Amino acid sequence: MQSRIIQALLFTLLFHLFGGIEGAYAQKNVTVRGTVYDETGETLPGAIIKVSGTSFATATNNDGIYMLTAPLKPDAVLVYSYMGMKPAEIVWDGDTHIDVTLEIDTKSLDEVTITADPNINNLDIRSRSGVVQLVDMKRLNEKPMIDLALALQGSVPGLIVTNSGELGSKPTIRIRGNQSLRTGDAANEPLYVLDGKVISADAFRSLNAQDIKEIKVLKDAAACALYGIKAANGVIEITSKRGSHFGSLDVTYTLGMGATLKGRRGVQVMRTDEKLEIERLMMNEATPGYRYSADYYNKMYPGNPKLPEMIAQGKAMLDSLRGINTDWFNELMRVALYQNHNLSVRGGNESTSYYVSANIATQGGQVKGNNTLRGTARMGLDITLGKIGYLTLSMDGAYTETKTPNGSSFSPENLVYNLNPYETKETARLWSYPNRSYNDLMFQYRGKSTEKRGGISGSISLRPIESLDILGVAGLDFMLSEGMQLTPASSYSEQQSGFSAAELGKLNQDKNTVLNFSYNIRAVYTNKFQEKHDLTFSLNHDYYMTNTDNLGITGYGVGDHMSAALINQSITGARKPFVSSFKEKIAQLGFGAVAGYTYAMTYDFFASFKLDGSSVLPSDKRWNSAWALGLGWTPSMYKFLEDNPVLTRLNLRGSYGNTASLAGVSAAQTIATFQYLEDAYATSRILQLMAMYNRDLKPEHTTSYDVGLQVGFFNKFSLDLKWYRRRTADALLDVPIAASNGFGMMKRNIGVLSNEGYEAAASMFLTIPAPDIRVRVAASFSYNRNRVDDLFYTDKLYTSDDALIPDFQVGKPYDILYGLRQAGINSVTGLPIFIGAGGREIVPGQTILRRDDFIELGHLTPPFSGSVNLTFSWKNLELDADFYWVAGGVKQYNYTYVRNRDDINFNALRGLTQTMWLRPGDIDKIYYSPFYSSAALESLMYANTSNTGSSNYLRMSMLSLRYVIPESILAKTKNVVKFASLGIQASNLFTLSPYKESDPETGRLGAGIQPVLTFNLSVTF
Amino acid sequence: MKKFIFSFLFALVLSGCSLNIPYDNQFSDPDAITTPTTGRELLASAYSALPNPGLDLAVLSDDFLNTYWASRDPGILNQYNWQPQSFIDLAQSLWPEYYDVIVRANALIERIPFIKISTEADRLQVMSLEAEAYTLKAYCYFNLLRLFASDPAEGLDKDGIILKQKVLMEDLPRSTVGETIEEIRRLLTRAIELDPSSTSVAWLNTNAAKTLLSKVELYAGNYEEAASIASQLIDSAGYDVFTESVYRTLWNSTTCREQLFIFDSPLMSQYYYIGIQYDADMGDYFMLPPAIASSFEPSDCRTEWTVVPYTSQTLGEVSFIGKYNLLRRDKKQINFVNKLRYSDALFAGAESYCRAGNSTKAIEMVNNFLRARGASEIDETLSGDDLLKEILWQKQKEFLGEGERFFDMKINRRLLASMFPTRIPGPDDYRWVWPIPKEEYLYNDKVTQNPGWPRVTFTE
Repeated sequence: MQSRIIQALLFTLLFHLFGGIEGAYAQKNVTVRGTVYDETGETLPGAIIKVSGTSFATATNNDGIYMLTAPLKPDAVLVYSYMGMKPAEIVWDGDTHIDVTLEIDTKSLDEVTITADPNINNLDIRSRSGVVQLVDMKRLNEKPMIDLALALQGSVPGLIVTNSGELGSKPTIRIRGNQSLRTGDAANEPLYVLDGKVISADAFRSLNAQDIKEIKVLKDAAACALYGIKAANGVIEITSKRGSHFGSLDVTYTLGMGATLKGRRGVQVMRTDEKLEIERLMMNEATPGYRYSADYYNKMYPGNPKLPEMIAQGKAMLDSLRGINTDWFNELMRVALYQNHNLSVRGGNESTSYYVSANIATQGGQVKGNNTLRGTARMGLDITLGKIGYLTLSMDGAYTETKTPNGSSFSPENLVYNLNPYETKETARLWSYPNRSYNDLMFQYRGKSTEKRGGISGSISLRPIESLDILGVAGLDFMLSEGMQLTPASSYSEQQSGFSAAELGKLNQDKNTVLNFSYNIRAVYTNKFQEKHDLTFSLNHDYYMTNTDNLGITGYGVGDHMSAALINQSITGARKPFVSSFKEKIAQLGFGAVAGYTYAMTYDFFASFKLDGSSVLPSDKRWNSAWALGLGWTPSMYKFLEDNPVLTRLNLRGSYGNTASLAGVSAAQTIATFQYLEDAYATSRILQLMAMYNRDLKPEHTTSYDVGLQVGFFNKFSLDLKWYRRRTADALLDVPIAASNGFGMMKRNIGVLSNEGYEAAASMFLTIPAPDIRVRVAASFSYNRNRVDDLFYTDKLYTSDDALIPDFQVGKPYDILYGLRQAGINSVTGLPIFIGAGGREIVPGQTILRRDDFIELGHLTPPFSGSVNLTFSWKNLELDADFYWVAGGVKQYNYTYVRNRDDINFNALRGLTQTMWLRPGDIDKIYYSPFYSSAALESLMYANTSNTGSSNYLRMSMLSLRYVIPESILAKTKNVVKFASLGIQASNLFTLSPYKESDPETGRLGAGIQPVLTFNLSVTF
Repeated sequence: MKKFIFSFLFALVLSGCSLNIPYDNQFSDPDAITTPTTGRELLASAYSALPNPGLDLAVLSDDFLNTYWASRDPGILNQYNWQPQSFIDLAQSLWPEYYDVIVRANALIERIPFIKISTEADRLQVMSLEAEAYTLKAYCYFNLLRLFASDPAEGLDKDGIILKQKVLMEDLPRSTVGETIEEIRRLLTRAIELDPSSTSVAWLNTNAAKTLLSKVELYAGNYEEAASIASQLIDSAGYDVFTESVYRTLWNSTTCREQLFIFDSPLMSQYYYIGIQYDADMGDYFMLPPAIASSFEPSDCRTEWTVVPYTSQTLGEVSFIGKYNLLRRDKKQINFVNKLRYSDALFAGAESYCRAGNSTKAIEMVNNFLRARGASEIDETLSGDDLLKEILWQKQKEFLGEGERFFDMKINRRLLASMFPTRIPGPDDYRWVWPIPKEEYLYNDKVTQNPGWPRVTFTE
């Protein structure tokens, strides 16, 4: 409905404004359409098509498709060009459909038309020796997913995106793994740069993929060096779409509409008959299966004359329960709506161009009440400043709203496995949650969070004299996150809290603002001389400031209303209103220099140095540096190889870099720093020493080596191989210190670690001209491994006193899961038999575990990952499919659904009556006896060889089938419609995994990435 | 266009910005602690970190008997029965907690020279801060010493505790018992010289420091010194601080004249003593031994606050401890915990006189006190060990359930052993000296473990 109105409006608008003009030229003009490809078969968005000798020109759209309308005469020459590609000239022979494949430019140093790029760190020389990889935006746009970060999964080898939970939660994003012993985003997250301005990870996630021209992933030291120490974990550089300079106006409307499916069922749980039977076998009086069984009455009332009567009554009770068989997965999980509307207007002339877009998208989560709504708007304006340069201006805003029904205690994803099949939403007193009804569990909590984001950036590019460019970019990004959580007075937990009615109903409200401001000024001197030498020098200065201001209130007595105005401020004592606040402003200042030289497009040399200062640290530790060297060699440029039809591309490159970083370190860790607490003592506020400071703290020093090889054969097959190794010396970590120091932990430089890996990407392209079939297969693979090379104070580091297993051990990777070796289940006791060090038998509850009883079970972070992309097109039909896989990881099952006697009041894994040890003599069982509470038995809690599973998975991350409306039909619209396509798109349709529980990625019983299936329409006017 | 030039210029101007950006709510050296007020606020962080182990120590002592409910909680029953693991667990929490207070006091002491003084009031305030920091450290050292070291009588060269002078990560060995006592004495003497004149008992004033010193001297065996300090204190305060009209506000008012030092943090205090209740309606894990409960006379002003009669089908007719537990039973807020009061000085004085052989003076002090409380006086003919036992009995009654009894049982265990219930081991048992927790010895090779206790290592 919405879409139709928008379409109708558009038509009206267009016919009124431009229809007349179109009509006037339509008779003389000829329209030529087609697609521009590169030599690997990828379509080229943004390629320029000009009619030689005229001002008529156009550019390809996102799909590499163009439509050129011009008064063409026979023998007119069409010139197809694209940055870094050999231009192709085609003599027009009256054909209205021309597809063109451009080849990589191997010869000239021809300057390409300057296009506005506010990412002023995007220097040409950088990508010649550094690792800069592009995300395939076309495929990204084919994934119906709201979260841009999640959509990036599998797009570039080595960029590892891991989903962390329900819809709206932040995934972890890492480029080539962690290079710090410290976990968490502060020390390991990449830097996000949008049009030259630094943005936060949350701002990045809320971007609309359709507004993005390209995303570059910068991995190695040479590529990242221009950003300095901020880029220690790599950079994700985003360039937004700009207007066009060809006088044309494109209005594109894209619709995606469909459903978010329920996702994979975690484990199958019991149906009523089996559930009642296992309850009887486990003899827990709090379960109906035992409480109403003959076993119970016979035990409790032996010899009682009313015994037969009681047994009959119990049977009747059980029979009535048997009549109920609720499938809680179906009851609690749902199919939700997915919608995505996008409207963009793109146009301009030679001096001014513009791009304006608006997007609205909604995605529903797995459980009722969980959904995300996002609206974004963007404007980009480019102005040419005569012959000396250009200006760009970008503005964007986003609104994201996430609702969640999940409180801390009863999330629906757990209830699916806890509620019994003989219980219904109407059951007044649940057996699973005694004294509560279903309504007491749900409607416990309501949460809503919104994010409002706005950004503005401008850049200027001037060439006052030949060979010298003065570039500047400044940007401001503002994010307001608001959250409100209500635990209503009517909720069970509030009712049970024991406070008086006037104090019931808990409300949290918080408002957090983050303001990012950054600028970067750069002078670039480039000189190309004697046809062979290409020299670049550049100096820059940048500044980055982030201002965080958080305010939160917690109050009581609001009843069932979600309003802070209703907080009862007369309450004193434990439920008094409470205010929290956090304010922080941090800044970074940097100065950089870079030099590059290329000889005959064959040899590349690159060197850079950057000095960065941070306001977080005391002045003596503030300034740290990053420098890098890069070399490139392209033998395929040699004369004898130049026109070799077999080996069409050969490039070798290597880089070396050194970065000193104190990322994630705050002043409190290096100098005595005090902070006010919200609590008070007597009549005084409390100003507390925040941490045991370490005056000797040094930055982490990371040295990195990168080697890469690119090979192309027949212009059809390409292979890209990379190897890297990073060594972090003086690695920082919070480690335990003796308690008499007054603090349990201190940040110290504790050792040396290394992180290395391989990445490979290959693609193959095949065309069968006769039936017009194109096939492209691309695959990528990455491997990452890390290792603790040295620890300064010990050879094994335990970050907790109670740990039996070291967190870090010299010579070992730092993400190993340790556990016990299980050798079956003792048929007499029903307990697992563990084999410890030296083959000794460990009897749970009796043998005291030693550290050497534990063995390595595998990697918690899967070291291998990769993707496979398939494209098959036939005439106007195009099929794209993407697969993503990870391998080599293990995860411990949480086994919450394998019950013991104490918690059999919850539903349990289907088939447990057969697979669990229930009585002496049971053999070949998978699960140990339920008659011991696991809490009482230390050794049962550890991971072991039988409660751990491979977390490998293969996911179909994208499937898209599109039909591009043929030109003959478009021509009938008098070319008002320049391009149209229809299609079906799906993301994450299925995940195959040997992991028995729901989601191998998050390790959570529910909360995997859900499939989204949409119908898709795209029209350009 | 103008906009761009403007923003460009704006950017250039900003680049001149300093990286010295102060935090709104964080303050780093050297600008952090520069006024008497910030000094006070820093010291407040040390006070607020004080542990309140009263209930745990009382459970270990003979103040309580277990009720039926104790069998429902193996943890609390193990502690009551002196299971070694309970001591390991208690040490694991108390040792770091006391050192937490010490390091915060040290943080202030290190910064005292940098506090700017502009007025006479400032000067007095800073002197008071310094004195309080010393007294607070002494208070922690004294408790650590009494828990983690052997009695002074067993040898002053035995291992004491770690004396921490700096805010710095260091691995220090334990000082001897003698050195520890000497350090505590030095801290308190210096504090008394500085004469902190705070009017609020939330802060450790001169009288609190003197009371502590009298307890320390008694512990160290300097009876004359201890008796002299204590009797001076009591004489200047007068025995009317022990009367009913004062006592009735001892548990619920922060302005009771009998108080010398209270832990004045409502947020932390609200959970104090919660661990004794099995269930608000069904009763407590522990009750008062009948002999103690029945010894409280109706005329005694403490009876109502100390003994709470309770009857239920499961427990029968019993008496529960009152005080904080009574506040909780009456659904009243617990806003503070009494740490030192004039009774401490009185009993330190009486015990010291008795041990020094001055029975008359000892009996006089105790009887004056009991008279004020409204309790029967003790037999004036007592002397020697009999008098000592009587004084300790009266002291147990006064501090019932507050944990003080554990320390008296420890240092007097040879004298009192015959009266101990069977769950409490004999005087030679290793458990009287608590274990150094692994939080210390795992990361500090120089620290020694007390006899009888394990020292696990990571490689085991």
